[in-house]
Amino acid sequence: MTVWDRVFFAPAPPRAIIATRIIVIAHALWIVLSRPGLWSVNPPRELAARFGWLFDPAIERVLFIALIALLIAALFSRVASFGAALLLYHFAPLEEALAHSGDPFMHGLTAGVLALAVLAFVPRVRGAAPSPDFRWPIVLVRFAVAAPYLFSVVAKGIGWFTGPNIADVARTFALIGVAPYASVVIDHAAIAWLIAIGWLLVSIGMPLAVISRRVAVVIVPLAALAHIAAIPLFGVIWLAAPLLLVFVDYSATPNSSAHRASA
Amino acid sequence: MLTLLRVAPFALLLVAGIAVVATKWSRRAVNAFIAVFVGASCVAGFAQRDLWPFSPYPVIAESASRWRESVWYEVRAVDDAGVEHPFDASPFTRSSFERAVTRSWPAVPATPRTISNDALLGSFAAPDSLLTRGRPLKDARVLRIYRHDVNGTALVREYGSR
Repeated sequence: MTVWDRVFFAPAPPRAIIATRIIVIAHALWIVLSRPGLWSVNPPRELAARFGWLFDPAIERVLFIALIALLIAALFSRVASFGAALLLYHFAPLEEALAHSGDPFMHGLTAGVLALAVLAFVPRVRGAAPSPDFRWPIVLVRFAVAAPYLFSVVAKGIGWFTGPNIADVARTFALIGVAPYASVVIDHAAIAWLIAIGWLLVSIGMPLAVISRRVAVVIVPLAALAHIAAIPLFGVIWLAAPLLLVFVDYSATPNSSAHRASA
Repeated sequence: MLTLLRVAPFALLLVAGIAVVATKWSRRAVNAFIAVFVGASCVAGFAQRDLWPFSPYPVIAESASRWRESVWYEVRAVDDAGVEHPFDASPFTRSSFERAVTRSWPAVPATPRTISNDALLGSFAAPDSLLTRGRPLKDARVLRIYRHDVNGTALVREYGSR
């Protein structure tokens, strides 16, 4: 078995697909229902062709309701998942207009668009036996969730991850009044360096967590912890953080865990 | 034209996905689908090109050494007793809130009637990506706009009447 086969085609049970689907859809619904004005945003004309922003508000409103319905139906239907991916592609960039700062990638729906597009092409799970075709969709969804960590390192450069720069980031967010505990980072150089090195390791480790369960067991909880700590220290909320749940190994059963433990 | 080219990777992914189903999950079609997904992600990420939803993710990518140049405007609501309250604008749609702040105070009481971010899920609504403080004070009579910069905090505008 080649590495490619081991990574993408090791048999997985259908419940792993069901769990991934529930997480992705619940997360997308959470954000979509939290931005019920998405259909009424006045989008920039120059991007209208790219995102299909070509309709009047009455039609946009119908499409928005259709998105919610398709997201719910996508729990059971691949066709609905395909439709939801298309409509989420249409609406997700507009979330930027309804939440403070950043670009579409700063908000939570980017990975959701890709994940729904992947889940639209999964074989039927009802009554199915474990299959290689239940593995690659999970790997790709995890890749979509891990991508921001790796590629933000590419964008920042390794030199970004220093204690003084992390302290300056904290100063920036303290200055704009969103980071109530920024002084913990600003006043303690060791903590700033710990965050810098720790975040670099987590960011580089996340792509490895896609292909290694052992790495995932260590890195994913650290990433979750970092996102929680970033709220009081920097005032930054990573809306895609709940999608880290797709890294839980839903292939394992309590029996197999007990068996491994006893072995 | 360039804008439309940016759609191509996502469109190609969907076409490759349809081929996966049409060939009843043949290994060749699935491999092609995986290659498109991972390839487009890597082109966007490593070349730092916007192919959204394949994204370069330049999250806070600049050096923060110029933090002293940061400027931020904060809104505070004032109640009947003249006490200031932190004002969380996130439950409002950003566009309606900014319209209220930049045009006139009389528009503000109307904003809760527009669709707001917490309209459906209430306190379970997804927050903004930056931490904000306090709940909106819907019976406030005055809004004050403060400017924060490295020199401190200054009142720049006040809307409403007491």
